[in-house]
Amino acid sequence: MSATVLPIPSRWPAAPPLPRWLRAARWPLIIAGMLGLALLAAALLAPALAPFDPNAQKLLARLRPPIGFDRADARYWLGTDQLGRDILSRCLHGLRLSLALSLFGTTLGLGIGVAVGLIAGFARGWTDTLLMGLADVKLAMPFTLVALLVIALAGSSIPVLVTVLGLAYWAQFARLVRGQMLALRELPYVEAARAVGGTPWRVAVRHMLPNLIGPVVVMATLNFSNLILLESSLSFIGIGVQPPTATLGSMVGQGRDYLASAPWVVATPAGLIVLVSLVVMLLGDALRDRMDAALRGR
Amino acid sequence: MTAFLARRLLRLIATVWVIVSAVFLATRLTGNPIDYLMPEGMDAEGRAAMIAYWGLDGPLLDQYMLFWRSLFAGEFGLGLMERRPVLEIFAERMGRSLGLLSLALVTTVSIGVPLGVLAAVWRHRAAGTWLLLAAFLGYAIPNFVLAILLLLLFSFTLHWLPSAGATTGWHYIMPVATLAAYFVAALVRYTRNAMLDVLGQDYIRTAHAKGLTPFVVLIRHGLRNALIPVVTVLGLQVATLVSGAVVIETVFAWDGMGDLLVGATLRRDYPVLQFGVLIVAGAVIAVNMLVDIAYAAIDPRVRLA
Repeated sequence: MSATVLPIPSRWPAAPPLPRWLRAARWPLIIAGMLGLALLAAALLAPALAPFDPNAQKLLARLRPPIGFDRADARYWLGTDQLGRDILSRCLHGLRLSLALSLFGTTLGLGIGVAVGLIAGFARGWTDTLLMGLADVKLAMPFTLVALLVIALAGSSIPVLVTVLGLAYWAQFARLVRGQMLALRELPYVEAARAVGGTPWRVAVRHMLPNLIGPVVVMATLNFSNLILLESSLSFIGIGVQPPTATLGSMVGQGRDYLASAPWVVATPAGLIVLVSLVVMLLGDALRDRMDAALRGR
Repeated sequence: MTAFLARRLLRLIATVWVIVSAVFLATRLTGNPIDYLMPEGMDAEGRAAMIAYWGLDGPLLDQYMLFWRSLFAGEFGLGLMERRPVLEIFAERMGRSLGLLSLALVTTVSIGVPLGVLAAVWRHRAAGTWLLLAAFLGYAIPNFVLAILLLLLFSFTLHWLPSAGATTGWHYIMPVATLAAYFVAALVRYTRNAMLDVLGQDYIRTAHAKGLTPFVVLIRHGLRNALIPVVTVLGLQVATLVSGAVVIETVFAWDGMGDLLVGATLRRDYPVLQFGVLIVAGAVIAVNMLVDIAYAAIDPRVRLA
């Protein structure tokens, strides 16, 4: 029942490529690349760059606006939040944690998905039907609900969050890998590897896996931005990383009570989330175009 | 068609079975459900009595059968916070969530499809490029950030729209807009690509050659064919829409099901969550199935798979 080979995707297919002028023009990509590197550096060097301890409260300096505004305190470049914590320091550490969580989540999802896809595409028959049926169930579920249930039962901690993020997108990887496996196994070199007496496992891992890794990497990039959004959504509604630890999402979530009087508490982390998401999407799109071109040339 | 229907039905049953079993296992594996149900500080004796009362001391298989029996009997337990039947709590809130979701869906389709067609028609013009750029932005901005931006602008700066609640028509504008934004953006990009595929077909040239007006060719021959994949994908996207609504409801204090479920998570109100997951997942999967069947009825190619 899951061996459907119709060109009807059960999710949005990966976003259609960018308009040609955007792809042809190099500048958005160059800017995105440079911004990406800057964000990565900021995340890696957060402990060294942050002027303050991100969780240090200073109640006398609550809700100071960024420099350039009335009542600003020159030591706090981007102002302080409702507990007098330095927003710049919290943003840097939050960015670091958000990126790390999304990276681990992507890796976990990729690991599960590739393993399931390999097994399904390799074993076929009942195992395939069963595993792909599970993937279909996963794709049909509103995932936020699953995340809510898991977090309510297991509590909210970093390992639980990484697991939730890993479970969020494994099915996409599984489908992709299985599809590739089914296509690859008919190719002459795979047949040749079988013919010279390669064990099925060896053929799958040594000959087929390296040849399907390209699209998997592209999908991982695209999923990375989805995971950043999922993590920040969960932290935003208060069930992700627990206070006082900062992630970009939780900063927006907790700051929204002060939206009317102190919009800067929310503005900087919110802007940063949009920036990260845009950069990762642009880079992912560019990578996909590259890979597609490479595949077409094959 | 009968074989197709039978396959889909089998799949629906299997899916529901997997979900119910997963929920059952998840609640059993992470400790005794009674500990979520009962107030803290209960003595060991009372706890044992409660476990026996709820039938939680039997073998796992018996518990599993009991779980199914109570589902069929319509007994879903009491909400931990409100001390009322879960069914009652959900019945009160379901309408508001459905209102939000259906309005967002209508908005998405009525804005996204025309804009997608325009983007395809204007593909060589600046307007088309701007449209696509806007769609790319709409795709990349997370819904809760957009919600905050709208709140900041329309509620706290301009004072045009209410910031929380679900009472008047004005309350609907921002939640629907934020929920729809991502899907409009996705639909614009998807419709555009589908249109461009279709407009390159021979039958479009034939239609032009017959002397039909460009508008008729575009809508009757172009859009009708482009819509087939677009609507299928849209129907299957309901799951993501529901996920989005959960977040949006908490931002705008929209006391629907999403708001309820997030609250239940924070307070570990497990009967409410369990029921919520079962009913919402069931509804979403049923909608997917209906879309599938509707498409198989309209487009014979789908049935052959």
